[in-house]
Amino acid sequence: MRPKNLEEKKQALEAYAAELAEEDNGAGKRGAKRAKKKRAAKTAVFSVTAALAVGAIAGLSVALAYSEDMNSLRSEYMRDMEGVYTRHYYDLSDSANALDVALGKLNAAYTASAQQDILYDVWNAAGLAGVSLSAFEGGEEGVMQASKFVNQTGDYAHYLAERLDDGEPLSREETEKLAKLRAMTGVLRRALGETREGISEGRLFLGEDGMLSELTGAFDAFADPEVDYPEMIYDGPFSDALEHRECKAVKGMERITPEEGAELLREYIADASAIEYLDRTESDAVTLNYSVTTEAGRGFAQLTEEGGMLIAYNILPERRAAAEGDPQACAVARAFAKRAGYGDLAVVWCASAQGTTYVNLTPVQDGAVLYPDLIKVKVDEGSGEVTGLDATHYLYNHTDRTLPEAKLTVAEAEAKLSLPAVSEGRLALIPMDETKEVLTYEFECEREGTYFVYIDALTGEETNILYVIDDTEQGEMLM
Amino acid sequence: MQSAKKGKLLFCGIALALALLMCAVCLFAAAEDTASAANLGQGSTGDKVSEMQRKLKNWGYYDGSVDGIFGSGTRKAVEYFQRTNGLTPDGVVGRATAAALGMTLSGSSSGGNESSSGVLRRGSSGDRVSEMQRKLKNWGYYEGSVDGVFGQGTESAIKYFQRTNGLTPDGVVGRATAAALGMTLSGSSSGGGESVSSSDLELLARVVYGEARGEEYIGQVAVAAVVLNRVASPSFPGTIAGVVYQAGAFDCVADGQINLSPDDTARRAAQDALNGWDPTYGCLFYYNPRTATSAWMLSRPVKLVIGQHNFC
Repeated sequence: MRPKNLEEKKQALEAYAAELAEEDNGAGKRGAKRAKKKRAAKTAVFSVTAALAVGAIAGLSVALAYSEDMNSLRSEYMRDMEGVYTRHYYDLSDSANALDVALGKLNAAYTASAQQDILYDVWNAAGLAGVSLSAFEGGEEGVMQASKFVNQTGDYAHYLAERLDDGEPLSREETEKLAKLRAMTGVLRRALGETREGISEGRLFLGEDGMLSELTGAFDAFADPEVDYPEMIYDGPFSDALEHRECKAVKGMERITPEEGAELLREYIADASAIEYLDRTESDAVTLNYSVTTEAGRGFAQLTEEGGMLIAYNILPERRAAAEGDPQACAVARAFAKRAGYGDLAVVWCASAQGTTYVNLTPVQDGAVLYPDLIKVKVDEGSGEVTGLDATHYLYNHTDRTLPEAKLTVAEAEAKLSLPAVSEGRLALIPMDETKEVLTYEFECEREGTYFVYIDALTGEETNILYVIDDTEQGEMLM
Repeated sequence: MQSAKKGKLLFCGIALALALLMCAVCLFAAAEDTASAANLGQGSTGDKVSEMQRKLKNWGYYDGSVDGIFGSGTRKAVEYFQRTNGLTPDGVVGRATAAALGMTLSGSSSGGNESSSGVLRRGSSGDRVSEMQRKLKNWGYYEGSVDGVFGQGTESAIKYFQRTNGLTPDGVVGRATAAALGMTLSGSSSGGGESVSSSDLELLARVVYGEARGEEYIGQVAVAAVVLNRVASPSFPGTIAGVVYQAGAFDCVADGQINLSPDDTARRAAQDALNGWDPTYGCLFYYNPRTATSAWMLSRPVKLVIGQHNFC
């Protein structure tokens, strides 16, 4: 049995050894597989890293090129802007010198004709100075005051030149005022002088150590000038007289409370479903402000505190289908103004734009329409409702007037026209130079366009011509 | 070994693709919209270039002549416009730049089907048709959907609009109908005589939209009135453009919002101000008290408060 057992054992051992060898062989194969996987993973990591690196390098290169491009552009724009500021600075210096010279020459001029020529030079130089000044920081008080000085000086010179044309010589007071304005020109030239030194030293307006803010600051001399700036009251659009306007129409009337105002608004705006007091405006006009809700929407209304007049009303209605033509707009506007206490007004102009008819109304006195007291009413063409009223001109200008007697008949005035009239002339009081009112005859004329021509009813002079522009966006306009 | 090679090749391929993709992304970001065939760039000519030059000139970006030729001056103006409007300043007018300019580029995918003259008729499609449908719908002439397709319903609405506005009811949107709708036709080349007053209204409306959109209506009228009060004041330039573009005068100019297309409300507010409405009675300034920092401005007496703005 033993040999048999041994044999069996031997066989068993051989079988076991073979089995082990086989196992070893399998393990080797698996190890090779694992190694292959490891290599593959390494390759993947390497590839992705390489890809990211290439991508990052490409991105960085693009970013660098882009940044370089941007810097170059920035420098280019800086140089362009430097050129713009430098040009305006030199133009301003030239204009300030020209203004100074012209105002100086006035001392030597004693004939009206020479004075007139020089005053037009002042007007011209001041206009150019105003344009150059506007290139510098707006909203800075010094720049604003300097602008006011040059614009008023030009405006005043123009007014005096036109007056000389009418045969009215310069008064002593006016000559003194012109001398003060020349002294102010000195302030302007000094303000510019420091910058000139900077330019000589090679400094720029922009960039580090730029002179732009210094120059803007130099104009502060105008906010607190060494020379007393004269009060400029004259017949011109920039007159100080217009800075704080008087509300002639309500002067001396009793003040109302916000509650009384709300009651008045209920009368004026019949379809108002809600009226809410908001606040008070203390501007050239003192008003009580309300929010008003009507069927058309929510709006805003202002009553004068003195007298409780409806001075402004505005609402933004929803767009609706426009009624054909809407011939009722003028009647609706007149009725609304009448209910607001403005009496019977004449329709002087009607224009349609963007779904709204704008109706201009004026009071009539002794047969003359009073343009200075113009009231504007908006009528929504979709609903036919009044959506706005503006009576600012009425507030500032309306007063008890005594109109002069016309010296010309309407036929005599018409004979002075150079264009064929297409309407009968009518008397019209028109505002001139912002502070004057002139009684005229108004004629509508046609020649390759429509014109309104105004002939002075006292002197027969052609005082104003308005041209009608048919504008697709704004409707018909007068220029 | 063969499979390992395949794996390597695969990974290398992926890596290369990734790298190329990243480069493409970078280049695309830098070049923005230069890929479109309809873009305008140096060397381009034609009506579109003229239209673009006119806009750039009106907005103060371009000083050259409106000659329909995209030269180096025009490129600089486009770059200047792009810089101030947060666009990539590449001097090429692609879709994004065209949109900021309020233009559509012929051949761009959103341009739809318009005739070369810009006239819209049955069969037309695109943004201009959508704009027209929106207007007609807002004003009660159209009840269909705003889908940018000029179909039978849109044609009926146009005829209805034309009849009620004294226009020939032919169902075709030409210059006259477009003007009545408050639209301009994109391809219209006969607009050389655009009046100054329309430009003023447009510019004023842009200021209103850029400065006060979201404010109640009267606040928007007040902002337009402040611009006009400045024009009338000796302390400021004497034109609307002079006042608007005076350095540092309006935030919307500094941040480029002046170039956004104004909405109907802003236009109506500008129109009212041009017609004389001034709820501020002569104010020259306004500011937002929460964000204003100028001590001088804050020291001025406030005359009126409307919404976010103090007027003084």
